Amino acid sequence: MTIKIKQLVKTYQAHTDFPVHAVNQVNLDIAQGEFLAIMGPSGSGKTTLLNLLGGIDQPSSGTVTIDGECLQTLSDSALIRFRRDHIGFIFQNYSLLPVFSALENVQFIMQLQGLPDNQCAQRAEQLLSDVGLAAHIHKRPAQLSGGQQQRVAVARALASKPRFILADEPTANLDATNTQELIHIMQDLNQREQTTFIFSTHDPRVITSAKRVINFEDGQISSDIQQ
Amino acid sequence: MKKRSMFKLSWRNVWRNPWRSFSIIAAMSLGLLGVLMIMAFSNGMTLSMINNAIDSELGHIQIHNPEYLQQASLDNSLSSEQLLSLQTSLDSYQYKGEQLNYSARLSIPAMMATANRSRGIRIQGVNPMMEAKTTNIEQLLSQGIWLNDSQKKPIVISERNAKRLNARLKSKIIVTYSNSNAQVAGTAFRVVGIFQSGSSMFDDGYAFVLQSDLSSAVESHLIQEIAIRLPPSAPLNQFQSDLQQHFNAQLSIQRWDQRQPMLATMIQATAFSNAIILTIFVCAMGFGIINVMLMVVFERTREFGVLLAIGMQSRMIATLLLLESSLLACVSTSIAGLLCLAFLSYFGRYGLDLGQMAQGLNAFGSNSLIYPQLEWLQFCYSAASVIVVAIIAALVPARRLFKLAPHTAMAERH
Repeated sequence: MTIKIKQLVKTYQAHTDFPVHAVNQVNLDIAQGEFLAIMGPSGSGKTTLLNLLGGIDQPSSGTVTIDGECLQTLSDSALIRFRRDHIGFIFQNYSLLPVFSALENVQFIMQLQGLPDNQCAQRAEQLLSDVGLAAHIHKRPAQLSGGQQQRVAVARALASKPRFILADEPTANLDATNTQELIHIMQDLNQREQTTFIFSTHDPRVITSAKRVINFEDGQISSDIQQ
Repeated sequence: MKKRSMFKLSWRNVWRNPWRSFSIIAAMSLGLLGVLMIMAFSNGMTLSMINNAIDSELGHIQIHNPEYLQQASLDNSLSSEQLLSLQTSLDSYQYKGEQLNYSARLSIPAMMATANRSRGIRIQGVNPMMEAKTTNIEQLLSQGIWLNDSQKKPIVISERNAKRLNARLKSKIIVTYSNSNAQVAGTAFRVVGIFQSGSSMFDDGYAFVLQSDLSSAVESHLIQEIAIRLPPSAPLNQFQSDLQQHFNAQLSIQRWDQRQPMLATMIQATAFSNAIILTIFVCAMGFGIINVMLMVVFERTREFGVLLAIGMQSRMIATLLLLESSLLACVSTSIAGLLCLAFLSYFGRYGLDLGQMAQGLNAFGSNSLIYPQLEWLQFCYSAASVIVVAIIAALVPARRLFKLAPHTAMAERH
């Protein structure tokens, strides 16, 4: 699976007279199985780039093509289906459904795909076990620590068997131990299942673990380094 | 996504803010309970009026010479042939093995007087046995006994008239009337019974004597009115139309609601006012639901953004919101229904005593002890309208979800 970004521009018309180019003429190719970190200072456009990659925001111009499918040509509902089936999301503040248990949160996305209940339950239990939460599957997010919640979010992101996972500062709210554990889990999944991981991060521990690091400044790629 | 999962998610969402859900459910339940109780009370009052009218005066059907309805005089009586034919028809009628009861009445306007007071009245000359089977006058006696043939010129009057005429049991009452020769004549009757019905209008207007006494007094053996009481649940309209076909247009055959159109109007007015009260309540409730659901959308905008991002379609999120709203309505109607059942079980059995308003209620023909009643259909359409309005009200905030872009929704602080 490849991702091709061509001449991608996202401009916000701020309250001032001057437009803000959050992403400015970005070209980027990402191959299957990459473990890629996008780093840069706050306001550099990392989150906007991830949103455009995941199809949850529309560019001002340019295209994002995933396996030959141009996201900009898809209708709203087709784009939602595409995200559901092909992209996994991990958010900085976990964004789990508070009324569901860890197991139900992971099952939820498979239920959206229309998979049978027993299949959803089996896979969800397996994924939660893979991220080390076998003993906590019936706990609700409020009963889990931040690190545990983020691991549930990882399991949820993997539930739909996506072709790639976008993670927006996944370790921002985690302590050192939890950060290290999360990195190991994601590296393991990346190596075992060839799932592509794309992070935006400030965290040096995540940056050093990445195979490829893109430095993003003022909406543009300033460096692209293979480690 | 499966309906069961949607239901589970929406049910849990309803209870994620228990106090807010509790307060809106309490408001809806109590509001609906109030509406249902008003309906039940109105039904009870209307039913009391109808029962009083049927039981003590009208019966289910009344038969007259059509001319009698224009001018209530002895000249416009039922003919002997008509009476004979009617008696044959009525005696042969059976419904589920039960016979009907009827009372043939000689009914004339008269003046009733004691030594120092007088009062206009309609004197009903009745066969005591037949009248007692057709109406409940005998059971309404508060003093004395019902008419019987062994008494000498007995009369039964109401408590109200007894008080006005300063009469009591065994008092002599002079009744003045026009006889069949259009001459004014008078007869002395002796009070043997005093009754009190739930209707002051009826109490003011009627007195009962033996038909044989009145016939000889007015020198006419003809009958002006036949009141018929059908067996329980017998088809009233069918019976009326059968009689009408049989007697063509020679007789006026009227149901109780045709005989007293005010009662029929009262029933319609009650139904109309119930509908207005229900409409006002569901409108107010609708605005409450809109407010609550707008709060829900406002508070959970970020969560809805995440749901959109991970692949839930906008219409499913909107459905979730509608489901939450309808669940609030379902819980509220269930609670209101149970409370209503409890109230009706008690008051339906023991009645609601409005003794302080007895005079006013009796003037309308209703008893002061009201037994509230609610039909299942009334509960069903009230509950259904609450649920439907809850869903419609949730459409307003749900529309906002279709305009939601995941990245802006997720940027919300809530």
